[in-house]
Amino acid sequence: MTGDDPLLRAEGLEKRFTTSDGLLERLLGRGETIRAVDGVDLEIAEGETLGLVGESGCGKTTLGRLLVGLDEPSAGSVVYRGRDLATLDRRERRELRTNVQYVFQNPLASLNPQLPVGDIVGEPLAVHDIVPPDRRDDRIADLLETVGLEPSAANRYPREFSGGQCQRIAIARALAVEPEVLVCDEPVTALDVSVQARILNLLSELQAEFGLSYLFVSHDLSVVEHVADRIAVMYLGRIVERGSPTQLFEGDSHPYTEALLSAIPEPDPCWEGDRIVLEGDVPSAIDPPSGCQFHTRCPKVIPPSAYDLECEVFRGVMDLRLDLADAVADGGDPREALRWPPAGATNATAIDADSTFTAGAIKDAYGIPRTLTDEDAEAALTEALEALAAGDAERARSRLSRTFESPCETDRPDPQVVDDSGDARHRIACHRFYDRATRE
Amino acid sequence: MALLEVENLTVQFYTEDGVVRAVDGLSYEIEAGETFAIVGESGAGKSVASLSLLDLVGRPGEIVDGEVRFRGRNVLELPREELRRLRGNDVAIVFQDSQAALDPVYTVGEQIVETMRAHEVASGREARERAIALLERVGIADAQSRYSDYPHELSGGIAQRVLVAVGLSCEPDLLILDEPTTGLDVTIQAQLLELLEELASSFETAIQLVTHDLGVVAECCDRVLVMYGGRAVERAPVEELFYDPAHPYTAGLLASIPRIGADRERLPSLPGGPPNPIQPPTGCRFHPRCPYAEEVCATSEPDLVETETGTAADATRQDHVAACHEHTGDLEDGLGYAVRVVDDSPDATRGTSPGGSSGRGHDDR
Repeated sequence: MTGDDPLLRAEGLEKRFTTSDGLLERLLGRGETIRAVDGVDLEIAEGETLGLVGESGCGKTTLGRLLVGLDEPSAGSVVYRGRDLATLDRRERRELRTNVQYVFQNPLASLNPQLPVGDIVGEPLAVHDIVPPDRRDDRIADLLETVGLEPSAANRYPREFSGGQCQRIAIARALAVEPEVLVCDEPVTALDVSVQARILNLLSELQAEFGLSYLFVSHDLSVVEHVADRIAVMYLGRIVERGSPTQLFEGDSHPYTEALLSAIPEPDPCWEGDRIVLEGDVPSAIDPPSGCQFHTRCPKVIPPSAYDLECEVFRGVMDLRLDLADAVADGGDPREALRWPPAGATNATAIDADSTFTAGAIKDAYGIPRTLTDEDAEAALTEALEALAAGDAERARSRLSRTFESPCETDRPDPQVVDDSGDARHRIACHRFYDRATRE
Repeated sequence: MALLEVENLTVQFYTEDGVVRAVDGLSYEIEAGETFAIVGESGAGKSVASLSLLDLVGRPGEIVDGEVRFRGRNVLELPREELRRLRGNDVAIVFQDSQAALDPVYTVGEQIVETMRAHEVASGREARERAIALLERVGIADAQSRYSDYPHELSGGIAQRVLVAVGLSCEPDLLILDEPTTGLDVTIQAQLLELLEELASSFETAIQLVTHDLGVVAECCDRVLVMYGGRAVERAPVEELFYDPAHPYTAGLLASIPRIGADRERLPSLPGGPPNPIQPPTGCRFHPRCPYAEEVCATSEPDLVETETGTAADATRQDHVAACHEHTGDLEDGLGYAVRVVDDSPDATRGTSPGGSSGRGHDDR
């Protein structure tokens, strides 16, 4: 293999889980498919740290497990030094484990409480027969010193150590086989800031000393920015943006990255920036949104080109539309799924809300101006809302979805290269950037 | 008279290895409607101090000294019945691990209603309606159907909100939140912080926020108490704490926060680990880890004093106080750190980054 080849490469990687574990569910065909990882291309070069960021449930951990061969992909391939992991036999797979190691999320849960630390760190040495038995104790002492623990720690049990120390033990265990790639899954999430800083420093020292490559999985952008050479941002199983930290934080970026970034609390009481607060949780991966999966929460969702609408206004219309679609799907009183009574209404007004369920009041609840600037859009919205106020939710829904269809929900955006000048290629999967790329 | 007055609170745990003084002579006050933060590393005594406010410290722990006065009445000496009425009704607590704090066999709604019924605030249909209104209040979409969900059906952020709703169910004057955002995604954390700010401003609820995340503190608190090894080492209004930290421990904590755009090869970190709780270091408990420690620090214990004047601190005053020999003039070389406010672009971050001098930023290795 040539020097330019990445150490580890994933192509079109997919992992689907199915909920139909039981016989009954299988017979009735009731199983639902969860798309945990949905078409990911990724590469890690030698000596590089790739940061992987995203919210809980976006598939970060599953992706990490696929990359080290702990799970089988449903489609796509993982190639390590030019060899596809799927083609490896048992013996080769075992060998792979000496090259690719994993540091798990919860340090205490990933250490066997019944084994002394020496046995925990020494186990990989024995399993892979790396160091002869008579020299193992010396090697264990070396490893513990490498991660900043006393060699005497070998005789103690995990419960006697703090969270930060347990994470060090887990790192020592992973280093025992002298790996080339280390996948660190949220290694500092459970730790205090001061301890967190020391583990991050330790990881960068180890990288300098042993030339390790890291995949650093975390939900905290400020931590990832500190350690990573390149960052990939993941949303619902897909990578929406990747590039160097500078490209991500200083240039244009995906609206999702912007939101993640602005959500980090600034340790400065006088800071007065605009915070983008994303509404709601990450949607379910069982039936992910169509097109760009972020369109259900995106503050910059693109209005249909037929109308002249502000982004913010269209976001309100979009929220109303999505809630209304839920309401129709559920049946029953549409008001239960809508933002009704409007937030901030007291109990008293909620009770006589029946009389105030009008087009204007619904607009207020969604922060839509009473009159839209675009006349056609206004006419369509008013018609739909009057139908809704009159109790015909289905008509309102179809009117709205016919009129206000965003390009974001119809087409899946492909990653576009927005900047190829720096040390990394900056790619964003968003229609806003797609438009620009095709225009130019 | 402040809403809550804590005076010389001392809590001990009797363990096999010896007596652990988890909280040692803690004094502070919270005014009505104020958001007060307690920060410190794991094991600093933050959670124990919060539990003590409602006399919830169980064996092998014991509150051995001090008073906790809520509206002037000592909580620790209240008769059982009155203590019961106080808990949840006047002072409510939201515990650390939301999934563990919710009862898995009751629905979300039942747990909110239970609190209201126990305190005879509401019952029956009215309680149900109030519970649903509360769920909406804390920003849970589709509150009607969430009412009958079980805790295992909730995500971390929603579970945390439900706990806040339980806490608010009897409209307490003081809400204690123990690490409310730990373990949540930043996006969910941002939603929860907005909710807390809104509660403090619109409901006049006083909040005691226990956390180890200084970013969260800067975001939504009025005053801060920094704890180290069971003791208060600094107490200040939030701006002063961030721009002019008067204790080297506070400065160290501030410096170790990773920040976007700060081009640092390695994060400055405090050397060593938290003090041994059974045999704390002599003198200033922080001196073994302090880059500016001198002889005097190991021998005499610094008092909590006003940083301006060096006179003994008074729990009733809302000044900037710290427990470091520097402020009584006993430190020969002084504290060698400075706060740098970075103002790189008009709309971007301003930030504090204590650092600079020798001794800072070395590791425990």
